[in-house]
Amino acid sequence: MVHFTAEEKTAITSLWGKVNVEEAGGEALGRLLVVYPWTQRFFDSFGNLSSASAIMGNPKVKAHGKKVLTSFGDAVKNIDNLKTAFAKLSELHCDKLHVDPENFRLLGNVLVIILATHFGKEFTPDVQAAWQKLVAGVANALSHKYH
Amino acid sequence: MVHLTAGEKSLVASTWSKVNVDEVGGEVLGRLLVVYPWTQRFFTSFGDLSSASAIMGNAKVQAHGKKVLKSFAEGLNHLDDLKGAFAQLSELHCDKLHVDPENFRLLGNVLMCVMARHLRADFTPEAQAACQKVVAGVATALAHKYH
Repeated sequence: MVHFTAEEKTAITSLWGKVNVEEAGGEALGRLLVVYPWTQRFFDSFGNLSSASAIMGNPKVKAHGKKVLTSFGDAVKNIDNLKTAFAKLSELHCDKLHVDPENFRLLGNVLVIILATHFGKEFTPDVQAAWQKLVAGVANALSHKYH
Repeated sequence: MVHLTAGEKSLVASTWSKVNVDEVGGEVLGRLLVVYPWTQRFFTSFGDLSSASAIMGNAKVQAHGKKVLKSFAEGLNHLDDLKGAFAQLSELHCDKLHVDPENFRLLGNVLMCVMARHLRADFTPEAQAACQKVVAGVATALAHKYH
């Protein structure tokens, strides 16, 4: 289980409070599809993913990205119990969506990059460390029900 | 081997030209040591690494980070033969330094994060995709001579 100190929790929640989940969600999913193009295979029904600008402007990508990041917001609220919080989503991603858990780590990396571009100076080493612990914890929680 | 299109090479070059290699090297190495604390084991002779501020302010970290990033920058001149360019460093990291190659990928992630932090919106999805291809190529090249 991932253990967060009080300082780490503060670093996470204070930054999260300033995140525009709708914008950041679309950007996170979009960048995942651009930077790791094989992930597009899970989104055949999303229409035009033929270029970076098509992907970043695609309304289905934005909508689904918002959904994914809103769910990530649940992690921030349930930081001491990530495995339980993500148990159902873990089963879904394994049994229905058949997503390789490595992709959760990739999405976590993309999210950290986005936070860095948005927050600049505020994204100090300590804040980065706390967030990377969180995304790793979420990736593990999402993999937990895989069989 | 890393295959970059002409467009990607040009994007990497223009993105990289906005990076102050002298300044950023220390930040990259410092963040590696903060965010992935087990990496500190390779730097026990560096003195005080007891906190994020100690690490980021540590003169040896700054100096060594600058050296590492200069070497990375040199690699950018040999994108069509990264394995050749990094052959000697690969042997050094395996035979003398005993560094697990996974750490090269971690350093690559941190470099992406630092570039994102400094370049903000200029670190576009396309720029990120091209740069991530390069850091993955460098990590692979550094692992190539391992036995």
